[in-house]
Amino acid sequence: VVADDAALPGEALETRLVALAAALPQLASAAGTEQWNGQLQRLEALATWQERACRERVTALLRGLRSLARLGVEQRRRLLPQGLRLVYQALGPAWRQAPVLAVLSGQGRRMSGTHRQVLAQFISALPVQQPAQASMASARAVLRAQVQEALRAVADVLAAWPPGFPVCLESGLAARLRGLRLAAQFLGSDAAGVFARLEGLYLLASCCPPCEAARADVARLLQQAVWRLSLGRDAARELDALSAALPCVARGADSADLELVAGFSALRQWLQESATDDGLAVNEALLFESLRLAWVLEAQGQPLLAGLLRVFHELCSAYWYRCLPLPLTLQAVVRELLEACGTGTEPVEPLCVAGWLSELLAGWPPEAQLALPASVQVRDAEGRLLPPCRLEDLPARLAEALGLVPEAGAAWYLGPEQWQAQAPELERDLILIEQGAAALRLSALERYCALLLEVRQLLSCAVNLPFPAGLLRQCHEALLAQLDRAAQWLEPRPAEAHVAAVQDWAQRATAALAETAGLQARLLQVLRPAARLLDRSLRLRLNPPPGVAETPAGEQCFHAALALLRWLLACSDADMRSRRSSGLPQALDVALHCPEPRRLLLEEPWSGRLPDTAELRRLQRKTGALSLTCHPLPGGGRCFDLLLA
Amino acid sequence: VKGWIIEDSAALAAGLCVLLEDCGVPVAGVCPGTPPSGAVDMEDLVLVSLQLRDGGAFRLLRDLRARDLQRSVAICSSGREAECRWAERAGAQLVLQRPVTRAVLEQALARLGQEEARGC
Repeated sequence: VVADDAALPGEALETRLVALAAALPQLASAAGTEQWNGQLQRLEALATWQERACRERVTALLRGLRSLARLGVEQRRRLLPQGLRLVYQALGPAWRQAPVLAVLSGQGRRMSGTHRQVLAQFISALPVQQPAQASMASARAVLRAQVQEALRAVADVLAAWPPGFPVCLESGLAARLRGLRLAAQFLGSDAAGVFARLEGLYLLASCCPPCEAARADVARLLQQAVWRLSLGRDAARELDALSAALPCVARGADSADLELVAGFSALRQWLQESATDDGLAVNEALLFESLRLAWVLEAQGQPLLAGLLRVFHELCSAYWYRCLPLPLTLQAVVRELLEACGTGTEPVEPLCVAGWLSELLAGWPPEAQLALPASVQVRDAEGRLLPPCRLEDLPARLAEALGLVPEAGAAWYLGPEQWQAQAPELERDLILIEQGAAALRLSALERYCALLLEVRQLLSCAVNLPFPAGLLRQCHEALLAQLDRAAQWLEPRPAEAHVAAVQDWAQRATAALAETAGLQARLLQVLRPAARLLDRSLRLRLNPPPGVAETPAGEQCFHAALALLRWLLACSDADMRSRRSSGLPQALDVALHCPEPRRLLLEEPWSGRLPDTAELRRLQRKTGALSLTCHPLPGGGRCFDLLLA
Repeated sequence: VKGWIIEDSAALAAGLCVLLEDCGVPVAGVCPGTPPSGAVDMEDLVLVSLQLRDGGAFRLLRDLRARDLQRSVAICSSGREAECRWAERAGAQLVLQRPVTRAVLEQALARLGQEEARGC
């Protein structure tokens, strides 16, 4: 390796040496000393090929650097910038521009936050070159031109960001800005200050993204500042504005620490606001922050606290999932835990962690499994029962079973034909989601699916309205957004304005049913307003023999079915309560069959209650049927059997 | 091949950067949201954290799929199967569970390579 290095031409040799020196901060934070010493040996070997005076200085100073290896990691980190400064001075003036070249060419871009800080300290400690006046002027002119060119390249990269794009950490961009800052040191203190500020603001903006509203502003201000600098103009106003948009600049805190501070603040705020008479109300923000905080702590080298936070997250999830508050007995332990953790940047006593862990584990809901059904079953679109599964496994099973919904299917909504082609499979998906949401008590998602199924039914009735392509596309996106939340065990919440728009369309479609012939359309037109008044979702599937609707038998069917469905709607309250407690869908989903011209079967898959004899007699009178019976269906649900006069 | 990291936590992103580069994949950028469309090539590797603060990780995976990106890997923090399956449905070629180690990432890269070879 040494021989290869020695064979390098002079310029590359300098770059190589600087690259080796740049890797030292990274090695300094490693626990072992072998690599550190190895790197120093390589530096020494390179120096042996230089002129004698330089070689002697390097050799003497490398001895000092070797002594750093005997120190602990923290001491080494602290002393390293000073040591590197000495090495740098020892290298002589010819090599002093090499760091600029190295960084401009992208060296050292693997450095993490800590290493970057060490390098920044090292670089800031470097003395500015003071060559002879004449050569300095020409060197500055060349460097200034290079800086302008590099700035234009940065401006091009920034200009390529789409509007509203959040500032992101791109290694190429970071390396260029770092190079600019280094180069600016040779252009004078004013330029050095501007570029140091620019780089610092860029790193902060990318590592600590500001709130949603400020994101676009930050990217825009950064673009404007670089653009003005690339034209050789003053950008102080833009940099000031950028600085104001990033509140963390003033504190100068490390971005990872900021994440910890933000996470622990969120937990403290939750603790203050969540106490009720029944216990501590668990919300989604708490679940999210505790999980995230656990991983940030892990990344920050705090495995004990990370493990504790993970257990806390699991505990909160267990209560949240069962819609129960955390018991008040846990309030004291959570408060103590948060007080002791502080900002999470300092290590915590292992014994304390063990104590809190024990308290948290003792607070686990013991009756949790009893509060939930052991297994659930869902039906496919044809009403067939699918194999049972544990409730916890249901979301994963559904995610696998869905056919069309997870796909990006904008093509479905281009027109009625495309829609009709996909509608049956989409209906199957919606029915599965509705059942899953009901089983998991996600009522907002369940009601939204029921609404979409109503829309699908109204569309199949060929109502005389323009095809609502835009609305359907919005429905698809809204459904996906809610499923995304549900997959992360967050409560799905469809936007109220969107739901209102869909309901409005459904209402107009119901009114337009007046112009549509057929038994289903007539029944829906009469029953849907009533269902809406009662806040019920109504779906009707009809299977009469062709042409029956227009015959006297069809008319009889209509009146009998109407009376029966009105009764179902009117007495649905008690039924809904029992369904809710069993985790079954709330929608009134009815299938009507006419196996013979004067026989009507009404099947309701989600309701198992059989009416008593008196109720049946009253119903028979209302429907005008010769006979009326009700029997349970084999896979669950009930069936009314009417023989018409 | 270059790598993109979609993660809005600087601490977690830094760890992934080091891992990716240790596996020989240079990191092109770290973003808290969708990377700029022109910057990402079809063969680029994109690591997407499912625990983004705005909750848009699945939407982002669908966007990447719509852009025909062949190598998107989701990183799941919660360990819940439903989240992993949904990420796959959203377009993730692979889903890795945290903590992601070098060995896990190397295996994932090898598997992506095998799947691509099989696809060819």
